[in-house]
Amino acid sequence: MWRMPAALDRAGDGSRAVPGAGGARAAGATALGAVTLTLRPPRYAGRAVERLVDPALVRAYPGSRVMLEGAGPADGTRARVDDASVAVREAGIGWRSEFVTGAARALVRVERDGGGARLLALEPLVDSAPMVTLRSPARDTVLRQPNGTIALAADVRDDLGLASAVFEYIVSSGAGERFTFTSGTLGALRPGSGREAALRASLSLDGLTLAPGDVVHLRAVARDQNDVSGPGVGSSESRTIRIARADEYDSVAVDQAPPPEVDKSLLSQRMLINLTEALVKRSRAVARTEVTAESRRIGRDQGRLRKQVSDIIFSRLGDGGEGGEHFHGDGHAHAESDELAAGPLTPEALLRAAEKATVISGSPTDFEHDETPVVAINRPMLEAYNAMWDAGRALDGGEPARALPPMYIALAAIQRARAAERLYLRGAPPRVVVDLARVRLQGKEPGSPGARSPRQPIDLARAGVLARFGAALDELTRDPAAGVDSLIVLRLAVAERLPAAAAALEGAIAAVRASRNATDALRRARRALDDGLVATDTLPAWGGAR
Amino acid sequence: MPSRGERRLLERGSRAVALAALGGLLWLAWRPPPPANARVTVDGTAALPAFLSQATRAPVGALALVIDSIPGRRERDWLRALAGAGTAVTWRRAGATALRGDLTGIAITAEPVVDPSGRSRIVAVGPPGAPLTISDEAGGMDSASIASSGARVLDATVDGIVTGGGARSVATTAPRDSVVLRPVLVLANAGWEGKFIAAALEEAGWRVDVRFAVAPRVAVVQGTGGRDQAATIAGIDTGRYAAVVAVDESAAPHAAALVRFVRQGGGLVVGRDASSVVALAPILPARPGAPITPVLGAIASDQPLRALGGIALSAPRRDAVVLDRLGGAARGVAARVGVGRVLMLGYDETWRWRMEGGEGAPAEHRSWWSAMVASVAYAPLAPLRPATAAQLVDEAPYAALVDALGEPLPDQPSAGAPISAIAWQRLRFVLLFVLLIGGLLAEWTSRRLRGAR
Amino acid sequence: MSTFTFATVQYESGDWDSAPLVPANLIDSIARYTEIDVAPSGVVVPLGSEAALRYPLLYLTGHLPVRFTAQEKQVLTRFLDRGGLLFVDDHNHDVDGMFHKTVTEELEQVAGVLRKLPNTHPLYSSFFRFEDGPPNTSHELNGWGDNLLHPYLMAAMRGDRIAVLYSNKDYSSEWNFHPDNKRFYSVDNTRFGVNLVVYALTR
Repeated sequence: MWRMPAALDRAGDGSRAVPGAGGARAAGATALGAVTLTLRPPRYAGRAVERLVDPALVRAYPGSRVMLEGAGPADGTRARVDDASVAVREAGIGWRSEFVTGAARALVRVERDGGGARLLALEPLVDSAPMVTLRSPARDTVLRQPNGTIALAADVRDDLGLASAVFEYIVSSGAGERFTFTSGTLGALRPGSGREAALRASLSLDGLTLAPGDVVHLRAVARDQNDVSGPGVGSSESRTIRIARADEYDSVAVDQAPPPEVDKSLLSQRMLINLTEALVKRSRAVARTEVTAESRRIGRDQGRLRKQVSDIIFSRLGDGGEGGEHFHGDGHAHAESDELAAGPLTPEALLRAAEKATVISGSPTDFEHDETPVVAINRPMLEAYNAMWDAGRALDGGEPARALPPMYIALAAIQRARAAERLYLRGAPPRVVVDLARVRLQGKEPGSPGARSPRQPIDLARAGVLARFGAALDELTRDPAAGVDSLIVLRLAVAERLPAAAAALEGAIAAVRASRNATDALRRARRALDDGLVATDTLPAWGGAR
Repeated sequence: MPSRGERRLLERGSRAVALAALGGLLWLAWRPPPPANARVTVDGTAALPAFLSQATRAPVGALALVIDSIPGRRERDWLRALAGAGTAVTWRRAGATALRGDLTGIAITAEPVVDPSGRSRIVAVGPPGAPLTISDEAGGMDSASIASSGARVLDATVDGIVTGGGARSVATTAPRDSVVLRPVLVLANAGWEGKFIAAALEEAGWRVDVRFAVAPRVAVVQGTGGRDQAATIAGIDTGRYAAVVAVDESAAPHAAALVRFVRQGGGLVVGRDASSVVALAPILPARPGAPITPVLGAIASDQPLRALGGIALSAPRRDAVVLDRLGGAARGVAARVGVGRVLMLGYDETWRWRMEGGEGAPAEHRSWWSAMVASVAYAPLAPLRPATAAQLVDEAPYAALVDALGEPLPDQPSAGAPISAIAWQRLRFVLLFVLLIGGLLAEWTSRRLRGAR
Repeated sequence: MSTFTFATVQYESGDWDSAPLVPANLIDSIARYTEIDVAPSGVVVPLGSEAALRYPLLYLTGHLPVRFTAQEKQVLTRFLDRGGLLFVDDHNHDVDGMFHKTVTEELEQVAGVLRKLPNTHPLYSSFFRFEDGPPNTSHELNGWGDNLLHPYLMAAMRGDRIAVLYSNKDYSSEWNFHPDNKRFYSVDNTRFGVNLVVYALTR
């Protein structure tokens, strides 16, 4: 509890003043005398040497060399940084002690046998990591061809000084469970001691020998000159440059993706319908043979389009589309499944293949509104495929008018597939719904959990901190030098958690040491230490101790 | 010219007057107590200390006190002693009627807050609009005008004696007791709600025992339950726990013990999902009501609880108190059950507040749960300081004045300028002194004029 | 109701959806061994979205380089500060792989240094007892990936609680099968996943 003697009440108005610690020292409480501190910041900081006399708090970059000096014999004078002793030796007419600051807060204590002691707090200054902004490429990109050159640009900045900056790239190749990676750097920059730099380079895709499906991950990285606790490393956001695969079907989160195949099918089918409608209109005015020939040409295009649709469906089923369509009369032999190998692929067979590829043990692996995503996308495509088949037969038979209805059905189905495509983007992995009722507590092994341990209270230390503050104030009235030491220790203890209180304590320590009135600063510190004061204008309707 | 005989007569008369004045002065100096029917008016509280010492030496029959600020404890006790010794003491408030409000004075108390922070709740009451400054021995704590409620409530760590007041009334107090806080037991199924309630309470400084049910006859436990995996927990009593938080239906096996615990004096917080436990129904302060639709996007607003679903609490018991009301619906209702307390909450997934809320949400969630538990916790008091500290405080000076002297007299216009007892005393001294000097001068002049020495 | 929903993190870079059956498998195990109220299917939540804060346990995996965006870092920082637990598994099972190199670098920027988690940590006894620490995976035993048996998991802590749990053991491959196939295993290899979930829900 802070109980200031009336004799110390300088203002005479009830406010309490604290005497200067220096005054107490002058009374001969310590024989240590003034302690001079020379602070030599590390080279990376680029700061000048500082000299301080009797400092209470020293802020220094990690790696700073601190030299403490004073009058009197070295013999019997001791110095400690936290719990570690530091050598004290004779120097001229006095003593000297040197050490290097670390990256953590520390308390330095210098004391002499039969004399006094001096306490100072060391607080590390933070060397921020460089800030890196990637200017180019400005966004992720998908390229159709793995060639060309991409301009790279980044801005880098550091609070003290940059050591180097570079573009880093990683090329990932492969799919599924098999990936290979290559990495490298570009455009290394050594800006010396500068704080800002512009990094420029160009990336030749040809030189990377990229293959479809490969992804280039790009970012800029900068390092500062901190050779003590660093170097601090800053990096930009990453950009990806992806080479589209032939069966590319993901268009999520990319801006320059090739047009989705469904869209191309949509255009083609509409074009074929236009051609067929025109042929039907002309059919009365031209010879039958010409109509038949034209109709078969359209039929071949319809067949090609049907093959594309088939590729889309198979690529989704994991076949990759490489096997192509297994349609009637194409002359290829395929063996992806018995069903496919057995002969011409009917829509029903395709549908069964789709289901088979996506169902395990008879239960669907993923559902969305009672339908798997694969089926939801593929069903209209299969309908389109089916209708195209019918249209193709009619066209092959020279009957364009009969081909039009199934062609319309195919167009509508493709449009539905396009809508479904928007629902089931690449970003949605299969959702498996677990039958909880079926499996609940079917496990045979019982658990036997260990006991829980409590969490640490966040504010428990507050009452203790206030008690320490009160004790320091008591100490101030009895022995100002010791009181200041207590405040220095307290300041160090709360520096991280209660920065406002630490700042107020710092002001109070300075005021006491300079023999100024520290009352206001101590009051501010007291309030800041009691951070959570709550004031209201209503009496609680409920509560209270019993 | 007067004759010689006349002069001698005059001289004797003057000497007699001087001797009488001297006698009067001597009488004033060593006079006996004033007559019992003497009436003295003291105008202004500042004149009171001097008058009191005077009146002790020369008791008055009646004292009319006109105060412009509340007398301190010492003056009040002195007045009470005078009244006990036979002086009829009456008092009234000075000044215009409009200014008399703040002369009803400030009263202040400090009692421990029922939570682990070690803080005290300082409650200052006074006339609305009166300026109020609260400080303790470490300095100023709060400065405001008293609101229309007539109260100012401060939760703070207190250092020494707390002083609250304005220009005309000062009250002092000091915490006398601390609370004995036993652990809180959290009963829940393994899930986010139980986890984050326990975390919030522990971070707020509560000692927490938990029982998180994971599987049949399997629970994650902490505290005095130790490795006990049994479905029931022995010893839910006020000797062990301050409060129990029943988060959900996992409290059902312990319902009988919980009812007993509350009737003993313990506190129980019943979460929304625990309100369906039938055995707890007799002690619930309200009934589960209609579902509440959460307000989308409100979780990061300044009213994050609006984003939480749950139920409205309906049909509160007659003695229940609605502690938390949101959008017209009661979401927190408390009531006493026997000597215990039960708080029923209607919120779902309060953990979302901590995770999804705006800046400071974890601290708000922590404070909220700490306050909920504190509102029902069994917290017996333990004396904090020696009784001497209590003698130094003056918590309700106005009430103490009324207690000492009775109610103030009704306001009435003054019947003329009151004569201060001190002034009258001095006047009598001066008059007697003037008479003494005048008498001696008159005799001396007469004798000189007739040539005598 | 406070239902546990298993959430997989979707991040901008990499193949975040490389182990799509892990959620269902763990959900199945949670239901199989505990009474925990669990949603029957998992969700995918973008790390750069505030929605990630709705799921205090997040699962992150992949093979490809991981570079968090500024928004992802911001959300992840809030998530961890508020008590969330992020479980990261290297689907490459390769300490020389790009996933490991990049994601550990990113995590240490956000969550602090990843340190070895002692094999006596409460995680290994939060439901089942794993006296030797994290169970080995068939990928480790078969010598795939980096051809190492990783004896420890790594973690970044908040106080004495795990904030980020990092695994090189490739549980993503180990657990990436349909839960119905559990019947073919003599020992359920997803039991450690139960420990992870129970730890997250109770500690």
